[in-house]
Amino acid sequence: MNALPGKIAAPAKATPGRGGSAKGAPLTVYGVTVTSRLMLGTAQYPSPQVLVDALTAADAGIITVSLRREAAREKGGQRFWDMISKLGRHLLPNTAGCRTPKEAITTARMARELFATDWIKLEVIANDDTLQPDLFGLVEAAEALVKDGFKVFPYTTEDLGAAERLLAAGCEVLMPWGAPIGTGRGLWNPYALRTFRNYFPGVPLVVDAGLGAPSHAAQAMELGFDAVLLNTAVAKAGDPVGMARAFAGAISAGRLAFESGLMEQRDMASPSTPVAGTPFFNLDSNG
Amino acid sequence: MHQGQRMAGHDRIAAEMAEIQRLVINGEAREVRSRTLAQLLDELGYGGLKVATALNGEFVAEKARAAQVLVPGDQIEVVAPRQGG
Repeated sequence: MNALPGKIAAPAKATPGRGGSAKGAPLTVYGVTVTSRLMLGTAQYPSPQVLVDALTAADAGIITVSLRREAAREKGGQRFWDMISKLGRHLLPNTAGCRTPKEAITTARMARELFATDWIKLEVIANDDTLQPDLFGLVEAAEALVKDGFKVFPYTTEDLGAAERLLAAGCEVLMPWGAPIGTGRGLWNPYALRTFRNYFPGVPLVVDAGLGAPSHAAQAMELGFDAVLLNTAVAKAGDPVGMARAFAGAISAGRLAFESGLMEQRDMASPSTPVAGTPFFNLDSNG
Repeated sequence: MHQGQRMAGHDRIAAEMAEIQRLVINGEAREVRSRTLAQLLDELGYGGLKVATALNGEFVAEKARAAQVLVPGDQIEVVAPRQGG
């Protein structure tokens, strides 16, 4: 396994293990190793306590945060910081809402000072209806931020050309979307995501956005993605803590399945019970 | 002569300190007396709070705020940690 993109040849395969752990192997990104492959957003929870309980239930090692304008008398940001900084998780600030490379770069620099991390989830958004990444702006911003010392987690599409430009810019992880942010539609282009996985066999890949159900996350993990990042599906569930646990289980199962090697699909039936010795079986009468 | 010029300079600074200037803070027009970004944060009640700042679209680091002079029409962003996805 290496970090260089290659031709689309063999499907992604994990190294065969010895039964694996319940969660599968740990994930390393930008030199940091986490045991959970669920990256969880911190927005839209019914209360701060539910957020903390959901993060704990998911055992999320990496959590996303953001920054917003703050009125001095309001102090909501200060309360959020007091809570989040005690959780001992790796913080991944985002540039959500930024429309231009300049906005994203300035937001990233403000986030680096606020959260004391050089990690940035880079979003440069193209339009309101799909919230899809502006790939041209994304590459431009990634180049500038890597030069400025950031470790960039780019929110991108499954476009291979843009992905190669992001890697050339110095990104060491790629985060293609599953579906538009907040839609909960799951992997709306599994073929493209499978291609993406196989094209970059050694690059940490995270499916980010659009996941609505644990089965979507399991599917991403079975395809060989290294992690998933989600927020709304947990935060807006009837019971966010239960849903966090459900996603964690699905992600562990999907990863372990990938590491264990899924069977090849086939078009025609094939008996699982041995044919030899079947009672009443007679070659002549069946021929 | 030299002394007189210096006093005039002091007087001018004192007069400026009292002057109100119009800035745009977090998208809202405000009239303030501060001459630097650090003074502005104190004047608006952000002293001691965990915030980051930008001036006219460019990041201004915490340690650079005291030397960052403001002029009328400047656009300032003051942001704090917030939940995100």
